[in-house]
Amino acid sequence: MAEVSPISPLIHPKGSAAMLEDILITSELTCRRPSAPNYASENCAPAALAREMAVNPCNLLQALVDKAVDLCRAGTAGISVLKTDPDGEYLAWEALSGVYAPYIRSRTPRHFSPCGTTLDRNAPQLFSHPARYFTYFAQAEVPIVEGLVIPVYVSGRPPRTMWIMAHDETRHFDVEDVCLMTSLAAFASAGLQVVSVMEAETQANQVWCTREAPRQVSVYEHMAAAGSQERPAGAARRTGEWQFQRLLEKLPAAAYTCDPDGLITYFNPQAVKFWGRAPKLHDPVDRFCGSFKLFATDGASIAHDACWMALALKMNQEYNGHEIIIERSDGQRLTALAYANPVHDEAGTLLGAVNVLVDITERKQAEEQLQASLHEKEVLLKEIHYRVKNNLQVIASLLYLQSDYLKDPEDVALYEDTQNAVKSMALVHESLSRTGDLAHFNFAHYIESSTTHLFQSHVAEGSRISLDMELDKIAFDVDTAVPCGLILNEILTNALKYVFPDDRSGNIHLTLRAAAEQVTLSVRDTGIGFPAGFDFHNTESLGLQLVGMMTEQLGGTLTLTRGGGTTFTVRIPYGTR
Amino acid sequence: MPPAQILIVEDERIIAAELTRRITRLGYVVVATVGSGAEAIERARVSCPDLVLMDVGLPGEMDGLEAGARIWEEFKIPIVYVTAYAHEQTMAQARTPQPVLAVRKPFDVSQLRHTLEQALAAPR
Repeated sequence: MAEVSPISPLIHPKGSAAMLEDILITSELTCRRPSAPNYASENCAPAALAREMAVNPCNLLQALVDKAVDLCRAGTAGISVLKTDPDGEYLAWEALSGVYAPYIRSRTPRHFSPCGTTLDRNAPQLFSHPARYFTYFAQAEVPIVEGLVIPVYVSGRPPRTMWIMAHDETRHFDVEDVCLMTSLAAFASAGLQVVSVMEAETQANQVWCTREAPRQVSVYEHMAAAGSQERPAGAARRTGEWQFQRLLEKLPAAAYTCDPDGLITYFNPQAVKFWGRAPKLHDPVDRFCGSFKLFATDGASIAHDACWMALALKMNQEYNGHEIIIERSDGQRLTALAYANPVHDEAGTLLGAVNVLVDITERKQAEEQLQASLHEKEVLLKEIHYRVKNNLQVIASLLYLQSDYLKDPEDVALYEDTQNAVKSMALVHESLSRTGDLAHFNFAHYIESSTTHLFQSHVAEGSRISLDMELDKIAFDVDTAVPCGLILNEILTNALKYVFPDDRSGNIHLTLRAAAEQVTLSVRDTGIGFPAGFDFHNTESLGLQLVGMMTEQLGGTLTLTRGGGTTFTVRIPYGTR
Repeated sequence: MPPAQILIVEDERIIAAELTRRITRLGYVVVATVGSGAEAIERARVSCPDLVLMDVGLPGEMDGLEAGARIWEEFKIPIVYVTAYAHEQTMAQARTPQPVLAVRKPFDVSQLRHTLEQALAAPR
């Protein structure tokens, strides 16, 4: 890692132009649409951190900030601890990951920093471009766009903060990030508490690790101790077993160990809570798992000797992140992610296995509720399209009934045109109710059904007017689709009604092309064409006026080319609206 | 051969009026226009039409698919559905003989004529 000068509050590149209120935007968190939770990564995090706690607790804070960068898609993550020197209180950056990792020795003042402000308010805080107020951040090469800070309190330890930064203008933190950071902060708190207790108790035994020379407490030591019938000799081994149990006890997840025969050798208090019972140790009645019953996610019953722990021992391989459902004796079912890992001694002999069960029952329920709610919305949306379509049919029927009272065929034709325009809009809703996606309306599909409808309406059976189409698959939003549908309806209606008089044969060629930021809709006919001197910009034809209006509404252009018939070309912006 | 007699089941009276006029102009006889599934079954029993033009989205406990199924089961009268529902799954729920014939809203006269001819020509 490249060495850089630490950020120092003593260097003020420029005076602060903003007020604290200008950069503190915590209230925005509730207004932002939360990003979709990444349950898979999120669920893996506790197990990965638990392993870190078991193997190398001194590295837990670094593991936490690494995880924070990963899970929150942050530019930088860090943990600050409150310290005091003769100049006063300050927050030292004790673990860093990401863009600002080289600034590991930096510090910020207790009473003039985002971390200090967060400790004052004792709640998560969101900052926008904090360098506008905390001007010392301007020393850093990469600016901070947003900073989310979470307070971390551990009994008997100085307060800390855990934080993430975004350096990218497009990344904005939301409540989902607050949830993730709060979970990670809880881990930090639990981990620091464990280290605290260990430090205090092992200082007397003179065997505990220091930060400079961390002593790795391995699962191996515990398994070796637990697997043997005799208590292992030697202070180190006893200490290893004791430390490992301490760690597992503090884990915010159920954890237990088995010997190679599947007999349970240890379980933590969270396992008792999760199983709803405390199995006897080394008892063949409870082999591989202390739960009452086990089920797969499809509801099929799983025998204890086929659970993930049993497989880890029998197959001598890891099974991580697999879902399992446990049933307590009172019938209550809980879902967990199992992390079953075999443990070996240095010679590779299987000593047993450790299984960490992360309770995801609440998440599963929330996920199911979310799915149900989504389904309900989809049904509702389809029902709305159905009703709109039905109402448009009512309008078309009304126009038909009214046209019955008209005597002049030209008036009747006008009514028919209006009916077709209404039906053209109804067809948009027909297509939408099929896809249910307002943002991605398949316009090529619409053209296919719309042209069939118009040909049925205007062209007598046996007519010699042919149609061919070259359509790119283009997704429009509904605001573009409706006017575009009307444009197509008017141009095609005009062609079918007027350009092939006296049963003339001919062809209509329709193309829809997408190029860079532009869609081109072109309708070319081989009919008689418009009379010389015809100005379609100043026409009395309502249909062509509508084409002009709709094109203008879409911010597009309309051109008419004569010669061997007529070609209408409509170009509209695409992907930039 | 006398013109075929058709029963129209459509709760939207304006749509029913358009259907009545269009069907009459196609040369058929509209025996009645009713707005619910229960009325449709009762009218089919009394009038014995040659065909029932049935809206799918009827109000009340019995939708058009259910009413159509009951009329077919009891009287073996062919059913043509009229629907604004775009989904194939909706029509797949119909319990009348295959192929299930339907006129989609917004309908036009050629689509209506073709579907009625197809339904009336099918063996019963």
